[in-house]
Amino acid sequence: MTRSHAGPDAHAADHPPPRFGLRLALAAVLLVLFVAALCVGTVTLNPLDLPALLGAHEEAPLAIVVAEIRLPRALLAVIVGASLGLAGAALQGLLRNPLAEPGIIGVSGMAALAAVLTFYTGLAAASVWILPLGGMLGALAAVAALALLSGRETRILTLILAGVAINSLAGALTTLVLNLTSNPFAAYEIFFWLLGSLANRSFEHVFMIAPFTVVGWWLLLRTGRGLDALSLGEDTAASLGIDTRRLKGRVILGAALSVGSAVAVSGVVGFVGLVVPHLLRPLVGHRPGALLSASMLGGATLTLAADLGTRVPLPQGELKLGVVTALIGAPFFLRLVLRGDAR
Amino acid sequence: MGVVRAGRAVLGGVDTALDDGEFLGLIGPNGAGKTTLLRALAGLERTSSGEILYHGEHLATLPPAARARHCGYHPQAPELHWPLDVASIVALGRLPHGASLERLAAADHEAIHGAIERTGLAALVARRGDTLSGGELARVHMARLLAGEHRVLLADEPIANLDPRYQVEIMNVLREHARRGGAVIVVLHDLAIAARYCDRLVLLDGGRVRAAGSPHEVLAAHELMGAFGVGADYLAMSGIAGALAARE
Repeated sequence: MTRSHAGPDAHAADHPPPRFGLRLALAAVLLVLFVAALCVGTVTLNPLDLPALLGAHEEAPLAIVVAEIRLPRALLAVIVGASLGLAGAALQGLLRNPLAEPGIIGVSGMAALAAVLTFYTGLAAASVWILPLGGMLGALAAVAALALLSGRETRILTLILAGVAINSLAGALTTLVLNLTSNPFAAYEIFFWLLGSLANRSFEHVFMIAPFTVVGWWLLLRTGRGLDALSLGEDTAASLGIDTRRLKGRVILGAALSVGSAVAVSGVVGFVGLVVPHLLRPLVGHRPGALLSASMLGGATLTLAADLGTRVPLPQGELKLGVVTALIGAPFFLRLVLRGDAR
Repeated sequence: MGVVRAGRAVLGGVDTALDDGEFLGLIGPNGAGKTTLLRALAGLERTSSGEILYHGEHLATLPPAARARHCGYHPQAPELHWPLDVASIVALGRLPHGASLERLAAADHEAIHGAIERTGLAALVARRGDTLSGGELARVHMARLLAGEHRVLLADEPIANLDPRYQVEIMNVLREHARRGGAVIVVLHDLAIAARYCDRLVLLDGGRVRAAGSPHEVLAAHELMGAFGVGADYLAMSGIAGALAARE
């Protein structure tokens, strides 16, 4: 690249333009998968029939399948995946570590514990808002505990280990609740819910979490500048005019709202927040700010793809979404650790 | 002004003024309070007494972005947590001016370009930070500082761990900033370099100003003996005497 001429073009060459191409490509893949999610299942449909089926007023069985079963399920996959991808990218930016993932550092685990408690105590049946509220409170407790530990003096390794400990504690307490559940059917319900799934969800679930999710996204998407500045450390970020305490608060609250509400409807869907930012980071020049919206789209794409994967017919019944994402994610996690990226 | 941390006064009775175009060196033994003073001046440390004024405005009442536009800060150990490219690192210096990495105005590009030119980084703009040598990275952090177009630059040991060539390069860049009318406060451990480059020196010892004035006054043998416990022979051995003589 020559730099002999000065002018606006030469300056622009110092700094690559925003990578909208990546986001556009992800959105296109997402759209294709979304159409596939409406067409693929026990009954496979022609995509060209979808507009007619979605616009149909009569109670045709196929129209009901698409509008009331597959559409909310696909929407939830997009919402849950976007939340997990976005929260993963934001937490990694805040903690400056590629291992910070809602599932690994106990955020999803605590949300699941709180949700399970609302099932166990029967509170979940009292109001539709109790379950997402429980999930968010659990997530908030986990992120707040981590933020307290993430003070200036704490090493990142300590923080990750604390997250792992929080996760183990949440797992142990969840098992305890299962252990104490006297009704075997309730225990069965809780157990399968914990595996993470989007099967048999309705629009009620979409409306239940939408307000919290949207606020969480709004909070997280506004942290880009601050997270970019944090690449240079907390002191330098503050010297650049970033209010680091407010930034921390935003990420914590945003992650708790979006992950907590996602876990409340889907159970634990792990590793999306780890795999997606990791794959996309080099494509956005390792910029934490640009990674946010890209990971949101990527998370939605991966989760929708994984949910399609669960529909592979097996003699034992349908696979669970959390199982599929874990099968993809766990080897990734191992690779990150072995490559030493996690320091 | 003073700073109290965990009930202990780490800095007290510091009273000094800095003019535009002035190059001030902050020296003193380890633990003297140099970094604390610099962090307080950057608004990163809460002062327990006294006040800091920038052109008549109280630092404590300035909004973070306004404070950040006034003074740029180079920490003792610059960090880089993600392998951003050089252009992005330098562009972060524009955040106080309302820019973001995704949205840079013409003025931002201008400032980034100027900073890259002044630090001789034009050939490295597309390189990732983690592929640079320590000296190259130090220049990148210096370019980030310059891109902010701050009136006051606060640099904490910017030449620590650098080989002589990079030490001279970084000091020249800072000197140039003062020559263009900006003010510079730099923490230095190399007293010969301090003697060579600084208009004025402040010698901190135990959180107090032990001596302040021209390099000749502050680097006198009795002050060095008092603060560092080294005598007249150190002046010759370290090259301070030669640097002072060269200023004449």
